[in-house]
Formats: sequence, structure tokens, C-alpha cells
Amino acid sequence: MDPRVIELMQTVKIPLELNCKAGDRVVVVTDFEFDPVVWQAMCAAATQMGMEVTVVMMPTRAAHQAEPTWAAAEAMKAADVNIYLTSKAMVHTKSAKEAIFGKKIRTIIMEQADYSIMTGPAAKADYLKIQEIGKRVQEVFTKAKEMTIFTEAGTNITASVDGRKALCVAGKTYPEEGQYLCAFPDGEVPIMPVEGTGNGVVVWDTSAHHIHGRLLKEPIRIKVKNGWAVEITGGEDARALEEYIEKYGDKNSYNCPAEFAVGLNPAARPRGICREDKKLLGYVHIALGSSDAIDGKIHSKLHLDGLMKEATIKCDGKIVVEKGKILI
Amino acid sequence: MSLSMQLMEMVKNVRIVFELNAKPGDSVLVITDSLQDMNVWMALATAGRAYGCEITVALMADPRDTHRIPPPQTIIEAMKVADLSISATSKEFHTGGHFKHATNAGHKFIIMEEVNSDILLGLAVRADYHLMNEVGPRLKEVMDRGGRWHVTSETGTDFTCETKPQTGRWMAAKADLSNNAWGFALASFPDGEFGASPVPGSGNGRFVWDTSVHYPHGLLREPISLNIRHGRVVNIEGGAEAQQLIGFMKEHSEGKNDEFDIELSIGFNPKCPITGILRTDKKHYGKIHTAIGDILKGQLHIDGVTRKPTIHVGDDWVVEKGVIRVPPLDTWV
Repeated sequence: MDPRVIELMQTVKIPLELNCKAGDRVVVVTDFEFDPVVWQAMCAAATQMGMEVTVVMMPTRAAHQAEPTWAAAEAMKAADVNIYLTSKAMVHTKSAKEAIFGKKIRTIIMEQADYSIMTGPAAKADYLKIQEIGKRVQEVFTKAKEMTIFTEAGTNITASVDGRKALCVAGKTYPEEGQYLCAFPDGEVPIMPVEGTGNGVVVWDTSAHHIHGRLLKEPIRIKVKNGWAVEITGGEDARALEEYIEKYGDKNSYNCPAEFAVGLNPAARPRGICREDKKLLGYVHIALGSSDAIDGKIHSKLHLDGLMKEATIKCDGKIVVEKGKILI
Repeated sequence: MSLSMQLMEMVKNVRIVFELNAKPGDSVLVITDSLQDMNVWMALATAGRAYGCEITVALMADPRDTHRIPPPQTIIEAMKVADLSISATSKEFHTGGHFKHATNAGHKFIIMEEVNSDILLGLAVRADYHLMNEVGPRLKEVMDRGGRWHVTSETGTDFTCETKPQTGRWMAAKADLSNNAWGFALASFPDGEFGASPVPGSGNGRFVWDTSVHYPHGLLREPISLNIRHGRVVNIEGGAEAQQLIGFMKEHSEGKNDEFDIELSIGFNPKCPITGILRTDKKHYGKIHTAIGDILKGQLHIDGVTRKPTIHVGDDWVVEKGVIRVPPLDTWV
């Protein structure tokens, strides 16, 4: 046995305690590149808590949001709880949506949650406190009709969120409210802006999905017109984004903003891995691509998040987050 | 999980499973559990992927307490959409009804339960499976004519039962619908056996397991003798191992589990060693294996192996002291 399991057991049990009970049929989805010590610890914790666990492994997907193997997708749909411990994000795949929204299967998103993330401070944060703040932010975002986000690096984008429901994603699902997904480590409130309404500029300045394991070298500037990214500029990382979309995406991958979200985890540290960076307290992420994983309407092969620091968020003209500080 | 030299050997040795049962692009499900040797499923996943199949591995984190307990529903659902499923689990689960429900038309199933690294590095996997698949039909032709079976052995077996024509099956690592009358494509790996289906209630006499059994593990020190009347085991005699087996059956079964007319199978793998591991001992050339359990519920099925049997089927003398009298198998000793 890999002794790192001993450390991991301390934190993998947190999402299990928040979302599962003895007797639950749990499917842990992983791939051949993912550090096996994490799924082994997850298995050990879940079986100790009396759950029936199946680990489903598949070849690492070619890109984020590529469909899992058919057999993996069928196993996922027969479970009470799914836990994604994959190298590539998959919550926006058709299979995931069918499981989460069609079959109402509680799902804990832990893509890219490697050993360092799972033993780091973000995993050990005070989740009850994050949930409490998250619920308040969720209410404000859900009531808003229009949101504007600014950053010092140049982001200035406005989009309608009228009629869209924000989620409190803080390590806990809320099946009674119809929310079957959460993540871990966690702490964010996302909302899917109304498609076709976004206008302005998005500048990713911290990290982005298509660059794994390091922070961005130079900011990526995305010009948005009537809900579509019309121009991507910047350095090498911006070119890599264009290439990534060309290789793995489709025309809907330019849907922007596909998501507005604010991070709420005070213990998270920027490390160039979206799984954790997205949760950074006061950081905002704005996505390109699919928006239909929650209540948006556009489906794409991709959903790519990009992070920005010290953001200011206005809901219907009122500042609710100021330079990374939550005012709610 | 570095790729050791041994794992490389295993990858090479399991390639035949894909050659005989899959084509590039097929969806293959490898089923395993947390008690199983990791090298086994890793070798299968590596070989299958190298062969061009889409591999999914499903690992049960809570292995079944005993043989023949169905896998979780999650795995059954995954099996339904795979072209080929391989059960590389620490326990047997391939029979008892749930397997049939989980397979659709054209689905193939390879049994590799209890197979460990030693087996995949041993000789049983290196037999000529193409040749075994050539002679399989000839073996079936002779053994599957139906009639009365009479089995004797040097350790005291003297048993008779009835069989009907064309109710037997043979397997040599190639899952093929034409190999059996059950309607699903099933084989194991390592492999090489012909199995007759006795008419329930027709078995009488004594069967002596003298090589190995499903439980306790390892080569038997003392034979286990089963007295059979009208297809049911009326008593089990022997030494400490017989007592262990009786205890195990009491602990793990509901009902009597005393049926004996479940299987009557002859191994024909010429390279299989005798190791005390039932998975390969029963495939050993010229060994006969029989079982005790419950055919309807399928909840318990304990196999036992007997060496050097002599078998008559009707008027035909088909096996002589462990030598199968069907050319060219008579030269494989």
C-alpha cells in the first residue's frame, strides 16, 4: 500500500460525509493517468462508511468534456452517487448530464484533484462556513437580472442572468432543492448567463483549463460580442487556447460567457490547476463553451474556465464583490 | 504502478484473449475487485488497449464474501453495453442467472476469476490455443453423444450418471455461441475443458476429489470423498480438509446445496501445471472436475478435481487413466 493513503483518508471522507450514507451505491470514475492513490483512498473511506463502491477506470480522455467510455457511462447511471476522479473535466459531457439531471444521481466533481490538492488547505477548509456564505451569494445572484464583472487586468463584461438560477457549490449537494452536483475541494457560486446577451471583454489572468499545472504566462484577452467570443488575443497561452478549441471544440465552444462564478474557499491557493484555482476566495471564473450543464441552453464539446483575480461584480448596478472582497 | 518486466510478460501472455475474442474498436470491460492482484487487470487493460479495443476497468471495492454473489448493478449495466467482458475478480460470479441477464446478443464473456500473476506468468497461458480450438469440436463429438457415464479413479472414484446427447460444451479461451447449448458466448482463460451436463438426479456412487477444491485452497493432503445418491451428496468424508469444506458450506450457503449433477468436466490444456489453484488445475489435461452446490439458486458452486480418471460414455472408452482417447489428444500426455 502507498502510505500516502493515510493522509488522504483525512480529507476524502469530507465529501462522503456531506453527501453519502451507508448503503449508497457509489461509482468512482477515474482514468489510467490519474494518481491511483487518490481513488484508492476514496474507496477505502467509502467502504469503511458502509457504501458499495465500484471504481470505473478508462483510458484518459483526449480533451476536457470528452465523453467517457460507454461502459463507464452505463455504470455511472446505475449508481446512487458518482465521484469523478478523472484527469479531464467531464461534468459537461452528455453522459454526466444524463446521470445528474436525468437520473438525479448525486455527483461529486473531483476532476484533477491530485494528492497535493487533496492534502492541501483547500480540502481542509471550513465547509460549513463556506456553505453559509455560498447560500447568501446564491440568493443575490439568482435574484439579479444583469451582472457586470470588472478586473484591473481589463475584464469588463456585462450579461443578462435574468431567470437563471445560481448554485451554491460548496462540497454539498442539495437534492431537496434539485441540486445534485457539488465539487471537492469546493466553494463557488456559478450562474449561467443568458446566451447571446454578453458584451465586453474577458481577461483571464491567473489560470485556465487548457493550461494544466502552471499559472498563465500572459493574460488571455477575449472580446465578446452578443454572447460570442469574437477575438482571442495575448501571448503563447492565448494561441494555445485557439489551438485547443480548433482541435477539440466546435462552433459553440465560442459561446461566452458560458458561466460567471465567484470562488469562496479562503484556504485555496493559486497553483495553475483549475480544480482548486476556481475555488479561490474572491476570484472569478468566466467560461467559454457549454452552458447547459446547469440551466443554460448551449451545448458544446468543450467548457473551458479561465480565472481572474481581484474582480468586482455588480448585480443590477450594485457592487456585491469588490476587488475580490465579498460584500454580501 | 510501474511497468515491471513481469507485467510485460503478462501483457504478452494475455494478448491471445483479445486475438480470439475481440477486434480493434470493440468495447471491452475488465471486471476486478480490491482483493485481486492488480497486475492481472493492468495486464489485460494494457494488452487490450494495445490491441485497439476501448477498455473500461470496473473494480469492486467490496469483494464478495464467497463465490457466485452477483456483482453490483453498476457493473451489470456496464456489462450490458460491452462487446466483451472479462471477469478478473478474486471470486467467481459468472453463473447463477445474473450473468445471463447481463449479456445481450453477441456479447462475449471470458472468465478469469482467481487468476493471479503466477498463473499469467505460468505455462497454462502459453498452450497453443489455436490448436485447442481446432480439436475442441472433435472432443465434443466423442464425449457429447449422450448415454451413461461411468467414471473410476485410482483414489476410489466409482460413479455413474446419465447424459443426453448434445448437452455438453467445450471451451478453449474463445467465447463462441456454438460451443454450448446455453445461448451465450462464454469461455475462460487459461482454458481447455469439455463439460458434460448430467441428467439431474441420475448420479450415483462415490466421487473422490484428490487434487484440489475451491475451498480449502492448495493441494489436498488427504482426499475428500463424496457419497452420491440420486444426484445428491449424502455425506462427505475425509480428513481435516473435508471438515473445512463442510464448515465452509454451512457458513456460506442457504438451504442444502447438496446437488452433484451440475458438472462433469475434463481438462485438455496440455501445458497446465498442477498447483493447488483450482482455476488452472481443472483445465489440466486429463483431469476431471465435478461440483457440489445448488443449480437453481446458483448460490454456491464448489468444484473439486480428480486425477487419472477412467471414463466410459455408453459403450465408448473415452479416457484411460487420464489419457483422452480422442486423436490427436491421445498424444498430448
